[in-house]
Amino acid sequence: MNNAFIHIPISFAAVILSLAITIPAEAQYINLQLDISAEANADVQQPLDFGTLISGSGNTRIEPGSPSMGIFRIRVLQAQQILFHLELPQYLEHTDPEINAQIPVRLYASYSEFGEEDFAMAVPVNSPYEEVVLTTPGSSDHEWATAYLYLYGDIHVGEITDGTYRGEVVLNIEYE
Amino acid sequence: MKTTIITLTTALLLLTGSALFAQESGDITASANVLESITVAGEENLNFGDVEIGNSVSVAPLEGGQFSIAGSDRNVSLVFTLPGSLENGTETLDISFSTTDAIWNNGNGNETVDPNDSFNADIDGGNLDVFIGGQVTAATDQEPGEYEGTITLTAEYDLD
Repeated sequence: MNNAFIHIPISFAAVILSLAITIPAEAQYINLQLDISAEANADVQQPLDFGTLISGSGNTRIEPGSPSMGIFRIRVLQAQQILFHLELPQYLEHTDPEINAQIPVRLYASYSEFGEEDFAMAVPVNSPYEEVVLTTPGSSDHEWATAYLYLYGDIHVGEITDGTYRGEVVLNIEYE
Repeated sequence: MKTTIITLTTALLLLTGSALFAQESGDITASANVLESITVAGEENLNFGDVEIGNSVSVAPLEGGQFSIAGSDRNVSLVFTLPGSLENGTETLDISFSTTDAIWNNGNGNETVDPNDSFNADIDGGNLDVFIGGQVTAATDQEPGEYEGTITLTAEYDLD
């Protein structure tokens, strides 16, 4: 009974104290928060186009470093780090929904660190399900930092209906 | 009073927490355009009939050999492999092809081309016909008999 009686005033006092400390700084904190709000976005620099192929032609590969690679550009402002992961298709599907035809596809990815544009320095993503954490330079207060994500891989074209086949690669980014 | 303060504190923490992480996403399209494989079939032979010794016989393209090509509606590159002579055992009979001895037609009219050079044509409606003529000359000392040779037409999509 005594403990409860003592405990309530202490926690009450602690809350009052924290409010007392917080309230005077609130206006400055709001200004600061506007300044440092993080932003990030990803845009497509180049789609992943395997080109025109002939039915039954077998395997076609876009090699790592090839000019035909798909490229995402990831830009961040003020974020400390980002985490990304990919959702990769297993098949390209005919664009005519009436046609049930698929092309098996195996895709791989490599990413460059922020500030590095040379593919030769890119780091492979080990598995399609890997979550990759990238630390941003962070020192420049008002400049966007840019990293790149490269996609490549192979498809196998069997004896299938002619036409255009497509699949979507989704890049998800979380940042703080 | 205590309830109000705790609620305010919790709300503040929730607001702070929601500002820590944000999400973005983007997507890239992976694509491929697939063409039907090309087939080339010899429909009609180029037959010169009987040739008298010391004479020449010419056959016009539309009355000569015919190839049918099937595939996707695209431009194709075509090339003939032509014999320089027809053979009968060790005997040979000269054959030649002029610059107007080939015609292609995809249903939109005849186009005359030189069978000695590669040429391009459009498959339309999935089909293309190519015709070839030529001329054979029997020398004055030509050995009588049946002479044969092979004309090959190779087609591939022009993907440039």
